[in-house]
Amino acid sequence: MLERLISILKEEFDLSEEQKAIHSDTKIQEIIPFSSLNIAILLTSIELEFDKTIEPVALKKCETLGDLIQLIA
Amino acid sequence: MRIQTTYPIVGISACYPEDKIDSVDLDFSDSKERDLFIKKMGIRSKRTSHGNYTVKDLGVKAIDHLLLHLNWKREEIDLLISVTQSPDYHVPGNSRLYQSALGLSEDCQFFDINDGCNGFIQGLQVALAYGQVSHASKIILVTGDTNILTDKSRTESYYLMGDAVCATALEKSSEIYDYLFSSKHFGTEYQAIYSKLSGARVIAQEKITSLSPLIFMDGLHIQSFISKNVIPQIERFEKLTSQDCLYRFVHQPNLMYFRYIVKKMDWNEDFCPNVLEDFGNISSASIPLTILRSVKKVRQHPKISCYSFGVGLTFAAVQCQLDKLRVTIESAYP
Repeated sequence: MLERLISILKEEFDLSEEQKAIHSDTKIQEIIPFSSLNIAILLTSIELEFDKTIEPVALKKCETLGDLIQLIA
Repeated sequence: MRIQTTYPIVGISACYPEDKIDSVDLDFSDSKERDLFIKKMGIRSKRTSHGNYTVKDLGVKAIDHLLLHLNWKREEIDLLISVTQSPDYHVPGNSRLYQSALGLSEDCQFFDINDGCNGFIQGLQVALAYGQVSHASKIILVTGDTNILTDKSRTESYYLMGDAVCATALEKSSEIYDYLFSSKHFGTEYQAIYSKLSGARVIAQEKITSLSPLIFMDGLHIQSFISKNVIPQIERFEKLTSQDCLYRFVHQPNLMYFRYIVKKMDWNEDFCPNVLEDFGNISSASIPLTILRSVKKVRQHPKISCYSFGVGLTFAAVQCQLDKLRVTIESAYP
């Protein structure tokens, strides 16, 4: 699941080479600041890929990618 | 709701500003943010009046061209319905401004509907129902907005919205036409798209006398609304309606949400046209303008389904035949 999520992030946000070393402890806001547009992209992608609806407020509480994976699972 | 009526849609006319804003020229903090906006919102450029003219100006031109090409006389119009959320004045509604500008008959009936992206389907429903009981002969439905009321401090919302107005003509015939409608209203969520400082409540309760008509849009709430309400309503409507329609016309808030709906519904995007790249989100003009730009396809496959959602919050759908659509015309306001 983590690999799928990382793959989505790289594709959706065109992450640069140095940002590609992403793992479960990576802080989400270090790679994707929580702007309205970025949150909308994240939520839409997660719903399409994982069929999981997440509320924006719940997403904002996630610090790391691991936290987000727990929310999706 | 099934409306069996003698009124087919016979013409659609669109008018939009000649001036464009290219998304690459928008003021983002960095180019990466701008490129992401263009990629996900799907908007290369949009039309703008720069605040120099209004919905009424665009609407008058759209109606004028429609009457000319349909060979209708102005005094023959029996019913005109105006749908907008950016009217020229708080009072009166734009319908009377159209009457004044175009010299429409004093016997013509005029209605104003305060609605946004859902306005085409809602307006069509009202036009058909009232047309049927009043035995109107010729009906005009005018839908659209200008971006002047979008809150500029909400940059992404402001950059999404473009200017366009469409006039749609319905004409009484001897044949019966089937329109299947569905609409759902979620008034408890009205604050998601909201002109908070614009009305009598502000003066009455807050004692504020300088009103602001600016419209606030909570994009994340809209995303949640699409997921929780729009998709289930589309699924429900699809089960009720004939599956022999090929083309579906879906309101286009932005490319990301548009594609989200198409993917969730497992539709082929080739049969769900959109005009986002050239116009952005054009509110209640999005469906008629997309039909207009797809007219060759529609003539080959005239049974269509349309879906919209927006301020309210509301959802609406219609399935209908466009086999009598004979006039489609676009014009740019100089």
